[in-house]
Amino acid sequence: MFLMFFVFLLLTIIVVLQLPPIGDPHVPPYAGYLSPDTPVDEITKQSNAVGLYYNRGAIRDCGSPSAITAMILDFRGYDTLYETTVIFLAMIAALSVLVGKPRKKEYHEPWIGLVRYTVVGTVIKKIVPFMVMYGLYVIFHGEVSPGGGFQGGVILGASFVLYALIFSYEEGEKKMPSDALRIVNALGPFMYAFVGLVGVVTGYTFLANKVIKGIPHGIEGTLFSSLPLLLIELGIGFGVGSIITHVFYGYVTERPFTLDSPSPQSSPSRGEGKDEGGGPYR
Amino acid sequence: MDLLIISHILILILLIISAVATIVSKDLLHAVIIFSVYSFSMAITYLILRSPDVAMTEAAVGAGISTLLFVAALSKIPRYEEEEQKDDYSDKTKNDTSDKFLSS
Repeated sequence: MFLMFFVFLLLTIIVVLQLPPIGDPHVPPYAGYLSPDTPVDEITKQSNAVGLYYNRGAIRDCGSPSAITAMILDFRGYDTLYETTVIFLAMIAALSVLVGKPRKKEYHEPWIGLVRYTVVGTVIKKIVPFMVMYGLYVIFHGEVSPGGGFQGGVILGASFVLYALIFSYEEGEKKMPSDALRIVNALGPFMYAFVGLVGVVTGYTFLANKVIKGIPHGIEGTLFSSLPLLLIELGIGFGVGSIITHVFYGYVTERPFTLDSPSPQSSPSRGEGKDEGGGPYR
Repeated sequence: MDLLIISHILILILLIISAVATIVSKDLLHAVIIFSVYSFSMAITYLILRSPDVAMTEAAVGAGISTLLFVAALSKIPRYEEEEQKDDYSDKTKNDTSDKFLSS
């Protein structure tokens, strides 16, 4: 065991010592960090131009000062669209295993919360509003700072999961009812496909974000940097948060899986998710 | 710059120690908490390597939600890994089926 530890330690130190210096302008991903006024020819001479294109195109093509958000949501938009769809389908699969027969208000083992000390309950009650606030902050600042829909959504979901974990399932259900979660679940793929279809309807390509005329885009660098990216971030954030909370509720109210009847639990949100194919709009 | 590399190496040592301690510890609650330490040092590693987005994802998913889900799963199962029962079981199987194993 200790031999394994020392072998890994040696390997790690060797790898760290061979990393390129941090912030080296000759490394391809940092090519755009040279300076905004450096002529393009010089940068292309020094390193490849891909990093430069994406770093400068983030504001020019997407209106988003954070290059990573522009990359994830716009340059590789199809990838993220399918990512949100995969998360949504994974939630449906998990819930269809966890939730057997949909009997209302009656579950196998009632979930008693984990609160046994007053300190824990008081601290959680004080902390959870700040967690929700921080999650919303991360979601809304997706285009201007690191972060975005996925991270903010996970923080948002973690706050509700924490509340329902420490207090009981009924307390969590009072704060965030699962009927409301069912509506928001499919918001990620739905909002993505909606924003993409706006481009199709107005005569551009699918997911053409910045080019569309007649839609307010906001000012680059402020909170309202670009409307399509903001809508997508909101959809992904609320969708991911509600999916995490919903899977946790399904886990808490777990019933033994029976083969008698297929689970109709996952059906209510199917109507919203159907739009993502975009068939009838074409 | 040197300070950054030294702190990087220190955090990687912490990473390996916590990863090994997660496997070794018999108390599963301690294992979950050490695993969140592992995720958090992983997030700091990403931050040193200049990728704040991935660091945020790792801190929120690894140290945040997966720790909560592990605690939730832990509250339905016993907290300690039982060694005695495992030894009894292995002894019993050894005593009972020794002939069978030898014959087959």
